[in-house]
Amino acid sequence: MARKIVITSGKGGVGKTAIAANLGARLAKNGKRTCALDADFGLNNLDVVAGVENLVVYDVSDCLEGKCRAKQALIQSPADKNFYVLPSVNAFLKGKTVPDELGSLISGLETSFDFVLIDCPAGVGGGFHTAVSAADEALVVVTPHISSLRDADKVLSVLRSYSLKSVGIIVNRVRGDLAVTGDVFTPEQIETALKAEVVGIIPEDDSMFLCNAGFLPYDAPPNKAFKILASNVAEGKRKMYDYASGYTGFFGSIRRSIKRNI
Amino acid sequence: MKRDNVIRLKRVIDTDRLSLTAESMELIVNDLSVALSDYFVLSEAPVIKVSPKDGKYEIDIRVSAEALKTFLPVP
Ligand SMILES: Nc1ncnc2c1ncn2[C@@H]1O[C@H](COP(=O)(O)OP(=O)(O)O)[C@@H](O)[C@H]1O
Ligand SMILES: [Mg+2]
Repeated sequence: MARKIVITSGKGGVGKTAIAANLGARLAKNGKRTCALDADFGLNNLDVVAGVENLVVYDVSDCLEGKCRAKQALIQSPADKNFYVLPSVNAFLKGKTVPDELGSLISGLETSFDFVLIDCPAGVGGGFHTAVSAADEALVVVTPHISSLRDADKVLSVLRSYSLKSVGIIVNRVRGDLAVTGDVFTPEQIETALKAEVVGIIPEDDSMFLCNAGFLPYDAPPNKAFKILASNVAEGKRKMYDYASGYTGFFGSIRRSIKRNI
Repeated sequence: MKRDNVIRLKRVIDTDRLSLTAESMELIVNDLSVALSDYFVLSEAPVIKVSPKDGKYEIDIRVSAEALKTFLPVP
């Protein structure tokens, strides 16, 4: 039976889609059969981030309307044979609340996968509730800034009213140089403020928008970070990506000042 | 993050968590009046103030009464 994890956030643009796609690809590389499903019908992007937009035949709305079966809409990712994407491309559902059939659609995938990651709309609107109802775990994506954290707190308080098995935080776009100098919130400070556990840290890096999901260069910092995140999620470990590495000590201070000046 | 901003975040979140609407406040005031009126002759409706404190809430209730009602607890 698949673990169904909704990837959500308070604020938009914090990296839900990028994380759903890259975490999905990484879990798949570790041998877990994984499906990432786009439930953000208004601002759908999962197909593009996963690099499968040219392979779309049917999408989630076709499944919900009964035009096809879920398995016909699944696209095998070029990144890994274990990774599938259920995209949303159709304008059909825009502006409407997401129909409750989404829950049954996702349940239908349960036996075929180890993980179903649900890319959810930001905020706590109708689409959020449908996506969360279909999941049994949640990951809330935040960036280490006040506005994102404040909105995440609201989402967390709503999530607590669902009986989810676990709710964790992923801190995305962490700049090691700024974390070291105390100019952004550290994961520890975020845990204290939001009273929820941080399960992963993803650094700020250009490779995140330059590369399709699953194709992060071997030596790119997010590649290492997703490896750690995937094993935290899959095996319940709590290892953390070392965002400060390279930014402390003498050479670190030089690197920080270079970063400041570009 | 520097201390100032940590405090700022805490303040913003604490205020947001305090999401008691005017309607829910009215409900609490009415319930309290009913409960207290069994024992006191209230001179005015109770005034309630809820403020966040160290991750918990401090609830101040101010109420004044004209008289105490005499009653005997049933043995
Ligand atoms: N760790 C990161 N470093 C750099 N850019 C990132 C990172 N995470 C996300 N981005 C970029 O931020 C933008 C918004 O991300 P996206 O996943 O679409 O957010 P959301 O789905 O929450 O709206 C995208 O252009 C994405 O490539
Ligand atoms: Mg998105």
